[in-house]
Amino acid sequence: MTNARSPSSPQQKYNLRSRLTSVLALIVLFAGVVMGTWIITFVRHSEERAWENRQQEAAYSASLTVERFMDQVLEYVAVAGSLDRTLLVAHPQVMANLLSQNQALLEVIRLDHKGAVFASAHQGDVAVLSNLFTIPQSNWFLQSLQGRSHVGDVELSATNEPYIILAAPATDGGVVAARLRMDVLWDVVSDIRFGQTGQAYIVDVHGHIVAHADPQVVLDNTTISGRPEMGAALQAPDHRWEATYRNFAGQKVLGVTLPIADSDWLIFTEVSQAEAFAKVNQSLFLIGGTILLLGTFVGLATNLLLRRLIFEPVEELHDGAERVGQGDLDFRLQVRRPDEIGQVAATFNLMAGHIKEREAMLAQARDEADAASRFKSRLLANVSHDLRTPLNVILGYADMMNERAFGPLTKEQRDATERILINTRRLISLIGSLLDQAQIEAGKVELNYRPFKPADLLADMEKMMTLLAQRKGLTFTTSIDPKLPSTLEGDPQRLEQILMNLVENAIKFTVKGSVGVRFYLNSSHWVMEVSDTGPGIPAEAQPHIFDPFEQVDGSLTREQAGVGLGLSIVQQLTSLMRGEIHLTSEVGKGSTFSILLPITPKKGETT
Amino acid sequence: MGYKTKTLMRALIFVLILGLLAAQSACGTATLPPTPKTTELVFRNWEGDIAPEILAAFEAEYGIKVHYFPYETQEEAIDEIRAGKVYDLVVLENQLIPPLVADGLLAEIDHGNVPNFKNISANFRDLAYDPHNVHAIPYSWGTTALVVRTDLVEQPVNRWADLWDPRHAGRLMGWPLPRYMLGIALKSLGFSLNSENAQEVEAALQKLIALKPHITLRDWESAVAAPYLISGEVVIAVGQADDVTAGQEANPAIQYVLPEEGAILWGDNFTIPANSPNKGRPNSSSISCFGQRSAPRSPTPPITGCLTTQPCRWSTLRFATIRPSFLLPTC
Repeated sequence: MTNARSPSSPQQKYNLRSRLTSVLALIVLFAGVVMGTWIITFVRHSEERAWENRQQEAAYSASLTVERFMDQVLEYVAVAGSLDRTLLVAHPQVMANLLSQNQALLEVIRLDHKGAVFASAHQGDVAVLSNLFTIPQSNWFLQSLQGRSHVGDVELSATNEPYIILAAPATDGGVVAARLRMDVLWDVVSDIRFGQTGQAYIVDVHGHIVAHADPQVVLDNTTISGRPEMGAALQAPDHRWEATYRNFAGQKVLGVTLPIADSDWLIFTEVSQAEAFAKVNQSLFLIGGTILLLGTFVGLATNLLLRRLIFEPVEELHDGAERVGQGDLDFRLQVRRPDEIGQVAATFNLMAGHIKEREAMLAQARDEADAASRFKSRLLANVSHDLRTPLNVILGYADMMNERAFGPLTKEQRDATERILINTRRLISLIGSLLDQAQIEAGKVELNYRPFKPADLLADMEKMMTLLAQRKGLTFTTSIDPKLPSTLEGDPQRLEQILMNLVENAIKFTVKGSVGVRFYLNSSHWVMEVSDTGPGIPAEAQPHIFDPFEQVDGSLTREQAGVGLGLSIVQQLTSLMRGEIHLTSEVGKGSTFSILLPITPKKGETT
Repeated sequence: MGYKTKTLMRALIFVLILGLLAAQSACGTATLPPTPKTTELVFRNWEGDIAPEILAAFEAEYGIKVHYFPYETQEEAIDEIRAGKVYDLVVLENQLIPPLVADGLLAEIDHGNVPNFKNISANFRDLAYDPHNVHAIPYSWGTTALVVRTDLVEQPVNRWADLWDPRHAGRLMGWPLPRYMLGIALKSLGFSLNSENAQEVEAALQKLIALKPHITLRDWESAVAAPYLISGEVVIAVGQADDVTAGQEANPAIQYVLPEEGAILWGDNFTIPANSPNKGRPNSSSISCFGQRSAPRSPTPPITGCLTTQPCRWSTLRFATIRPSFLLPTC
């Protein structure tokens, strides 16, 4: 009871507690995560809106800037287109002077309606337009002839100067064309900055990047065609579009596009998603942390509350039950609370009171029984002693008579004395048994351990019992296991008593056949085995044969002398020697009693 | 204490898993579908119009087999395209492109795959036949003019109209290419080469019919007229620079004459038919980019007898013997 409690009960208690705690914590966490996801989605959505608005603004102002810049340049080109042809032909430096006033242009030319150049000027670069030999087939020329101004693609001159061809109708029915320096436009674009990573660039309707803060992007002929999701901007109505995507450089961005008025261009404004969603990520950490803290807190609080409210009282109850169970019947729980646990405690106290009353009654009954038993033993011992004294006298005189101490006896007299002798001896033996039983029950038997030779014990037994067996026509056999140590530790007198009892019983109940005694060595014991070919003991009777005053059945009792104490004594002596007694028996075939005894009995433990 | 830490650990793991799931769904996954690898390209061009070492270099660099499949005339290739034949890259002349574009037979070119496009001269960019070079990458160009046995003509020949001079009748050679011959007739009449005026075209047609008995038409191939000029059977031929270079080695009197009415400027372009399974893939357009690149370690121009559209390489071409100033604009 004492050692069975500690490992099992706390584990059960903790299991229940941790289960309750985890279930509660999980519920709280789940709710937290659901709410957190909802909040984050909301934050993300509103952040996206906010950034889109910010980018819309940036894109709008950028498109205005670019538009205004292009307007100025085109206006300047238009001025060049309005100059009188004869003036320009007569004074070639007019064009040069005009060009020198605008650093955004690299070259300006005037052409007649057939594409022949009649006035030209360039600065900072080689002349390109005036050297072209495909002018009549050029798109810019043909388009301007039809009255529409033209903004071309980004091109590189032979000196790697990037430019765009601008062309417009001239007032005289010809065409004015110019080359726009790209770096000026690029500067305009690279000035557009917002947030930390926000940038803008211009893409034409074919997906070519026209202007970018990094000139190399344009010089490398970069297009957005490799990014189909960006191509959606080109298809979007009026080129107004917003999305999150990977841009042509592979960066994850939030992008917004707007058209640039009067052009084939649209402006992309992009901000990295890392920046755009920084707040979302922050709130993700915040909410995640909160959920974690909350979950931990709820877990701990639940734990604490459960312990305070339930587990400590339950433990107290448990300890109380244990103390009461161990016999401390005066122990009472403190009933501190009126709740269910308090009620259980009160009921427990009530129960403990009842147990105490019952225990007292039981103790009284036991004391009475003990007293009766002691009385019986004393009586038995005294009576036996008192009986033995006169019996010994009777035996002595009968013996003397039988030995003709009082003169010769007639045959009848001799028979009578013989009978007196036999019955007196039997009575003395019977009283001896009773005395033994009483002494064992009174706990007055002490074993006298000393070395002895089992072979001697067996030889004595053979000497004593062979005659008895032969008288009933039985054979008596003995055998000894050679592996058995020649000397053993034990109380030979008590061992002999055990053997005598068993052998006498065997001879007594066996009608024909044999009785055998065998000593042998078992794995951990040495064994005295007594077997017979007697009637056997029915299985249902076997559990009771070692009870005092018990015999197998009434008929045998009547036929055979004895009061049924032999086996009881055998069993009690065996257990005093820390041995075991085994019985195997089958009705009609015989019985075998095995006494298993420890090879080295521990001294001092025989009380 | 052990059970408490265990509970906390469980809670922590739970939160982490949920957090990860939430993050996953919030960010989404951005994976691009893999591009199937092109292993073969069918390339249609004039016979011998690209240096073999260029194709070999391309095959080595990209691991793509190029089936070079020459046509005799570009009209032949166009008929096949219209009939549904599948090619990956077809070299076509400027004026043949707009009808194909109008019928949706040419794919738009992904300029991101043609980084060398930036080297192409402004002379060939954004021309009327293909605004913004959406469908064609200019590849080579040249002039069509007269190749003359100057020692066998009585008066200097310097006009297209000299073809109709009765003194040269029967000793003329031309191409069975209506677009060229009609252009020549238009030019000789002082009209635009690209005239769409019905009356002008009709007049030119009548003029051509009148010329027909006096001129031999030979299927175009490189330097087809040279042997006839050398033998003197032909004194004036409609020709190109390759006729001159081939003829001049035998007879320095064979001269290239740019007619006063104006020579014919022609241009060839890389185009990608719309039905090419490889269109839009980097490798398909790369060959046109590759064609725009000089062959490594080789001073030979990519096309024999033609000019590339890249001005910076003009100076390396072997046209030194026939370098009229306008042919090679300053670079």
